[in-house]
Amino acid sequence: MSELRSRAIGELEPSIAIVGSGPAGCYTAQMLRKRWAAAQIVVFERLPVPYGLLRYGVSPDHQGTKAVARQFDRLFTDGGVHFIGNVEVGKHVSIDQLQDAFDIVVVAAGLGADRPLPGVDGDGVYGAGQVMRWFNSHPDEHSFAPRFGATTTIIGNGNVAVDVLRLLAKHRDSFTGSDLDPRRIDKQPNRIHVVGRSPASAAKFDSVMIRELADINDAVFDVDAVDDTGHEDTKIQAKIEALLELTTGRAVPPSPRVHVSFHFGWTPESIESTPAGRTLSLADTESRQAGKVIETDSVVTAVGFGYGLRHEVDRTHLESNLSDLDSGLLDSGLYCSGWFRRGPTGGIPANRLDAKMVCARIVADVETGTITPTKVGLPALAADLHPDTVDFAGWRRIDATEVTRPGHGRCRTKVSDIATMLDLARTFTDERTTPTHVENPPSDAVGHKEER
Amino acid sequence: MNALILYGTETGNAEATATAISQVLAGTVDSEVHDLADTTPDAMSQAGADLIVLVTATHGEGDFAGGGADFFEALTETKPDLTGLRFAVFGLGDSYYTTFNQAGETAATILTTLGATQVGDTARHDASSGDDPEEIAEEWAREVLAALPAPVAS
Repeated sequence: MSELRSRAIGELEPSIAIVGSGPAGCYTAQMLRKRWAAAQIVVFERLPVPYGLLRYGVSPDHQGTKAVARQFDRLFTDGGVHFIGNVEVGKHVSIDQLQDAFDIVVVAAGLGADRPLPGVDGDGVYGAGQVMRWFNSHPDEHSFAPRFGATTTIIGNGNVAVDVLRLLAKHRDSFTGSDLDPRRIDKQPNRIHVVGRSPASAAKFDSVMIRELADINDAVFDVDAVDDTGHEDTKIQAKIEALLELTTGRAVPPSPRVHVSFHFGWTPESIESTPAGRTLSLADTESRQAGKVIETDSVVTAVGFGYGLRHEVDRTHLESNLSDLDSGLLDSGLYCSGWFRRGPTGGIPANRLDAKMVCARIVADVETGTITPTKVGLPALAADLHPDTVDFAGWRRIDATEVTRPGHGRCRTKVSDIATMLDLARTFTDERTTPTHVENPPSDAVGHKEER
Repeated sequence: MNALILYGTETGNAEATATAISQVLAGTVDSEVHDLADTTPDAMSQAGADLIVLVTATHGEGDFAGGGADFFEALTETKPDLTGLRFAVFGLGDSYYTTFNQAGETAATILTTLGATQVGDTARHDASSGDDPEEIAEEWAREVLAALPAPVAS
């Protein structure tokens, strides 16, 4: 265990376990590393591969956004933060076990379940989160096989809805540089409806997401109603202008490959199967009087996220009379960050600010003596971990395989099943990647790259 | 000689880049790194730095990321005379979007209009290129150093 960073190096620096290696977990590790240069920080991840939403939620054609991962790479390569993948907290190891071993435990496990839409469920109805995981080759969706058919209807007006729309509407040859598995777009619909409960001005998507759609030059877009121009809020006005430009301000291709219609101000009420497909019934959100019917083969609901996936930790079970969720405190020595803390709103930048805030709380608790660092961290837990954990070097081997075998103009070909990931992670090593083999970080490492 | 490195960030990429730049400058120039969210145009002027390095990401439709929005709004409102001030700009953006690196360009224009003198070129990192912003910034920082007037012997 001598190679592990111990408190002998950084006297009074706490041992820290973080649950989840998505943006919230990694930003938390980054902020804590900035404060404590020598603390033992271990990030646990359920999958053998890191980065959660960056890898599996951010759209495969948004590689610039995914590139935030580079910052996190440095935490693990130069910053002395340990990655331990393929460990499911709640199954392989409990929060209690983590708390016994580490002075500080931060749960940043996210919220991945698609919020259900009452009245709209059953065959042919898919959650957008699951669809995005599938587009991103998430191992949990290995056997998921959505059938969108010729006509699909996306319900929701957030950025995730627009991601699904773009991936379904973009020409299959325009994914160069992405890491989308080409098989995912073998069958794209030629008719797409996008239904939002609110008027266009209240839609949650960013204008830049709508502008991006204008690049699909063999598609035609229309909209049933856009509530007035002249909004004082420049962001709302930008959104309206982007929509108008997309739907009325561009040349209509002679024979469009796909036809997209936006329906604003309609609330989905029910879905029924018909011999020809499905019938989605909408009611005017304002009046509740007028109705509208959309004939569709499939529906993708993109109405937000919540707790509920099989593997997810239920935060309410961790709350105590000490809890102060506003600052990230769950219980003595136990904290939370990101969506797991504040719920499913805000993107990557919001989770960075969240991590900053929770880090401030943790630092204050240690500085005021509320928490006194005494625990050795990983060595106390190592015997309880199964032998198939994946360290960062293991992930680098998986990563190297993915980026060195791209086809179809892709920047990487993702491994989409856990068995192969584990095989690749083990390649070139004689021993299993147990936590005792974690590399010794340089003692002066901080959360960024050292000078070369 | 001393430099003030100011960054505006949403995801932390610009902050990491600012730190990388300060490491290249170290040895030649004393530098401090600050978040634009925690600084004001007054503080910038009063710091008495020989060089201001702005590291800014572009966010949304060509907007400044993070604290850059408020900072540059204050700058355009108060219009301080920045004659004699030297600055360099490193922009982070994503060519996937049409407003690629607009914030960096806007920053350079505003500072020039107020009388400051730009050193080196406005760098335009492209997140979609797969290039490492920190690596590009290190090379760029060396160019900026080379472009600085030689310190007057005292």
